[in-house]
Amino acid sequence: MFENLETYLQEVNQYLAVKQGGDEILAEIRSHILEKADRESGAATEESVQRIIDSYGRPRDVAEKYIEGSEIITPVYRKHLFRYTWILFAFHAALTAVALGFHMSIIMFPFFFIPRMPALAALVYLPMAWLADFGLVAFVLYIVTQRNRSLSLPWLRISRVLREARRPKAPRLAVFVMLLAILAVAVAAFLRYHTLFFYSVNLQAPEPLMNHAASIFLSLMVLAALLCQVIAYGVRFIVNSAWVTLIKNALTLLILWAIWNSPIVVRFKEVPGVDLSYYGGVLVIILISATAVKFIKDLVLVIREMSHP
Amino acid sequence: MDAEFGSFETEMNRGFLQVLALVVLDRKMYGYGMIKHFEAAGYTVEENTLYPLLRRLEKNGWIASEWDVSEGRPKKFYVITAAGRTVRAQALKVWAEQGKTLRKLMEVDHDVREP
Repeated sequence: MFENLETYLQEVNQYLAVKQGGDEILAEIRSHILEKADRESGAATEESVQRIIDSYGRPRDVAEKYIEGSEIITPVYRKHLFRYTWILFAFHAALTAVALGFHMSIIMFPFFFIPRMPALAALVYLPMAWLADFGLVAFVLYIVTQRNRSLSLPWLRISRVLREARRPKAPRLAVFVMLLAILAVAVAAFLRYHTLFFYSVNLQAPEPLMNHAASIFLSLMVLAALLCQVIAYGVRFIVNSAWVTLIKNALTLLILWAIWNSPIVVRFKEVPGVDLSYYGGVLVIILISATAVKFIKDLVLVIREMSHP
Repeated sequence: MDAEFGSFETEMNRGFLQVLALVVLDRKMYGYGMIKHFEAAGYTVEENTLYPLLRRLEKNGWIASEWDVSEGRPKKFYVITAAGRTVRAQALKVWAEQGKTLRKLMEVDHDVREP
């Protein structure tokens, strides 16, 4: 046994990532080197073996030739790796925004855990989340490569989504007038009754739906949201751009965020068999979701406008 | 330029060496013996190229191997299989067709003829 030969074979083995037959490969290299040393130098010695080792090649290069064609992730998935990672990260980032907005933790077993954290911590959390998403996608692609290399993975066509996201429609005067009328009625109702939420429709003595403080606060928020709608719609007669709707939806999201996070306790009028606070919460969640979808759609349009002016 | 051609030559040799291995393994041979056999015919092959190639051919079922421990030092002998003979026949046919195409094109296009 030659120590230099065994050291060389050990180094080859470090790089030899084959599923089976590794020992046999090493045995064959050993046999070859010893035979060559015997034949070419009369007898195998440390020196003659070393000469053969030197000409055989670097351990890494030797091992590489055995594992050619057995990639960790097949190269055809390289674009999938990054596209899937960004899609997953977009989902991750959206959940992080929700967690930040509502001061809550979000757990979606087994892939997502977004802890309750301050906004600054998100600056550290999001890059880590990207790396985790990249790792998860890489792991899945690794499994796919090892199990079934001929599998065709779906290709999500972001360009089609961009194409299908149309510019905002031209504003119509009738709609604007209707929005103005709604705002005017709402303002008038608020000025007279100090609320926009009524339990009864008796205009002489209307019964409020909730406690006074909550009623005023929520009414003001609704008025602010309506004002946003009216102003944005009016501005679109001058500049019909996705920027306008993007800013409007961002402001609406801020208003909804303020409603959700308000310290004012909302006590609804008790109605037998109906939990109004539950329905109120559901309504706000629906409004937030719908506005968030519109916001993302506008964001896509704005990015498109910026990249293809 | 030499390095570029080296890579090109390696690509060319990859397929050629597979055919050569299938041709000489009509009789049982081991790696070192094959290398010497090739050298005697004027073709040099690096040992660290031959052994991984033999492993791939064996994995495809085109050659079979067994260790001979009857002499002092164990040696791994290879021999072609029936599937390997079929592949060899097909490969030789492809090679002949490619040679024919190349000769035809060289006759038509004088620019690519050897000086």
